[in-house]
Amino acid sequence: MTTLDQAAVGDRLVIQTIRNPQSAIMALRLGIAAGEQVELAARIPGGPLVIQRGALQIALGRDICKDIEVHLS
Amino acid sequence: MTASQKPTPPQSPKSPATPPLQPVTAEKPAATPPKDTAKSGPQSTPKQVMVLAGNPNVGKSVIFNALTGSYTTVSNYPGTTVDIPKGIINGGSTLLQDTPGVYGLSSLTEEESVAQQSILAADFIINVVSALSLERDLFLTQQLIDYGKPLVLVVNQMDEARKRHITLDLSLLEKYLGVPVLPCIAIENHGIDAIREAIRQAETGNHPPCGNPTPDCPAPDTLAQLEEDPGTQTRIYGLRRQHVNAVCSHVAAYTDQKPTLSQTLGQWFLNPIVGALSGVIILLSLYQIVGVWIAGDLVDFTEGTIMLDGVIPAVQSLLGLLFAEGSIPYRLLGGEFGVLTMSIQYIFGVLFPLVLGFYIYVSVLEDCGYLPRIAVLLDGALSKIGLNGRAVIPLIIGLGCVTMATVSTRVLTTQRERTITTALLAITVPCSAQLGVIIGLMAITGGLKAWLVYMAILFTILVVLGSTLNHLLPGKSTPLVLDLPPMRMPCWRNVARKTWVRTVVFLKEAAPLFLLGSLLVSVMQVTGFLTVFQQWLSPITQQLLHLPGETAQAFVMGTVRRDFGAAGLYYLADRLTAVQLMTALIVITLFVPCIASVAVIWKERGLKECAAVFLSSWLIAFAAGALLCRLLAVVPIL
Repeated sequence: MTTLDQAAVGDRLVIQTIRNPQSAIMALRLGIAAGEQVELAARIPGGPLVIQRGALQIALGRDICKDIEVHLS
Repeated sequence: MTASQKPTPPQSPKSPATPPLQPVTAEKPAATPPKDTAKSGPQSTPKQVMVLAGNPNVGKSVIFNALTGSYTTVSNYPGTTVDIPKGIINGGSTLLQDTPGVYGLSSLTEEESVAQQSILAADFIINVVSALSLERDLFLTQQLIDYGKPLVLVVNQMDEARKRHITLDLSLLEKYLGVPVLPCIAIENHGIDAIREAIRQAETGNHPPCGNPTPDCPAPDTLAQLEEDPGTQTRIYGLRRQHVNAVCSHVAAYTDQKPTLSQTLGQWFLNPIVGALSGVIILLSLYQIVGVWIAGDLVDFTEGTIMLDGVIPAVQSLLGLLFAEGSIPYRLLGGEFGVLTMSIQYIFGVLFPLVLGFYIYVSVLEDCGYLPRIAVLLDGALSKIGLNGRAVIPLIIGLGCVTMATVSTRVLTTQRERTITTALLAITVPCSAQLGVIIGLMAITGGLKAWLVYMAILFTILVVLGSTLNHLLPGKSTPLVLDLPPMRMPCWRNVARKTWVRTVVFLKEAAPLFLLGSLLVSVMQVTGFLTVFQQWLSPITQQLLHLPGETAQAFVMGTVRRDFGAAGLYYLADRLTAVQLMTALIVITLFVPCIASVAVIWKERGLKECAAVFLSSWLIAFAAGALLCRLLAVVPIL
């Protein structure tokens, strides 16, 4: 178990929990919920991470990524 | 394989009474459909309000245009600055409203509140989703269904989905959701007629996340209230998300395939090096297109040939018939800053071509999916000044017109972000009218080197001001959550519509303020206050900024029209050294925003914030100018 901000590009991950409730609400609306499988599509140095789910790409600020617990699938 | 043979998707752990996810086949009475009122004629008052709702970038606007034809108006939602396009359909019986794209019915931003209120007040909803992002988009759909709104679901971008080997079983989706589902390729006009037919069959749908009616599940009309409580909201959102994902796992199938060109490009533009290079190209082309061609060549024609040589003399000779030349009413209406001369010349001769040209450019960048990627790349840097990647959009729009950009800060999530962005825009971002004149002046005196020094100084001030505000204001920047629409060729109808809506809103919002502003300055001129003000200011410019006393006049003019200030320097340019010119240009850029911006800041952010921005722009402009002229005297880079 680790947090999303530590994953590498190309990792396939399963989301465990989103710790911050406000982040969770925003993420839930976009389709990111506990139990979902995502792929890390890009890491912007010093900036957000981009995750891919199906045809959808979502950029998440670094701080949110620290609140999302994941494990490798 | 029929629906009943499919495995039952996971159920919500919190509501054991939830029935398994089953397509509902039972006959359900359709919600009262909009009546066919062909007899009532187009003049009658619409009896029903139908709202187009959907996530951002799903093609809602294209569908809105296709359904309403050209009979549309754009108006502000009461009490806000959010624009709601409206049109009449069904022979006059139904008012169709577009809404800002939202991911769910909550009120994180002003746009979301407006969308929420419009949707909740609607009689019927056309919910547009993208075939490319069904899992994301159906969250809103299910929320609408849970709220008991009758709706028709339109699945757009079916062609793009096919290209990406995404197969969707829409009839199964229809059964799961309990609402009519229609495929559509809006940009090719496929499926629009079917939508027109189907809006009569809007249905209220099934309510599975709570397994209605279980004791745990509230009635649709109390659900909206319940969801305002954060704890309950998280729980209900979780259940809804699980349900939607379960539905999607049945109706959508993805086949692995080679990435399309759009995906490769999208990935490419997320690379910081490509991003930086493209950023340079964008800024250079902006300089060429907006600064040189539009602000230079085109405005020369619209302001010089059309206005100064044609319209203005005609207006003045008409006024001459009514009032004696030199009389007070003549000077107020037709003088140097006259309401009927300067404001018309400025609005239609200068701003209209600039704003139109600039917004075509920005709409193309937006529509092809480039801007959101830049927002992602700049998120890290912007978070240092209390903003996040989203603030890129108002800041870029500010290079077109700061007044418009101040209005567009409504896309930002918190009041804190809006305050910081508004201050940065008003003080450090030059608008296209001003840039046009400044680029012209640079061309005479310093060229590209002066341009780079000018940009570097402004950038430094932007960073210092942003970091200061970030430290002073309580709170911190909100993290970015942004979906990246696929890269694509811009859809020209979309670009045309966005540009048009922005330009119309600009004319409606800013034009009356320019009229008022020029009246104010005319009064100041007629009463002699303008001269007093300039005399009062000139010692400051001489001693503090080492500039000739006359530059004070340029500064005062800059408060009316930002480019006036810069244009005032034209007459002095041959008497100024390179250092003096740079100092004057920086001071004019930082100095009080134009009168229309001040009015919009007042309206949007309140009197207190407006006064703070106004006063700090004075302070920062003169402090930066004083520092700069002394620094440039020691460091000979110009």
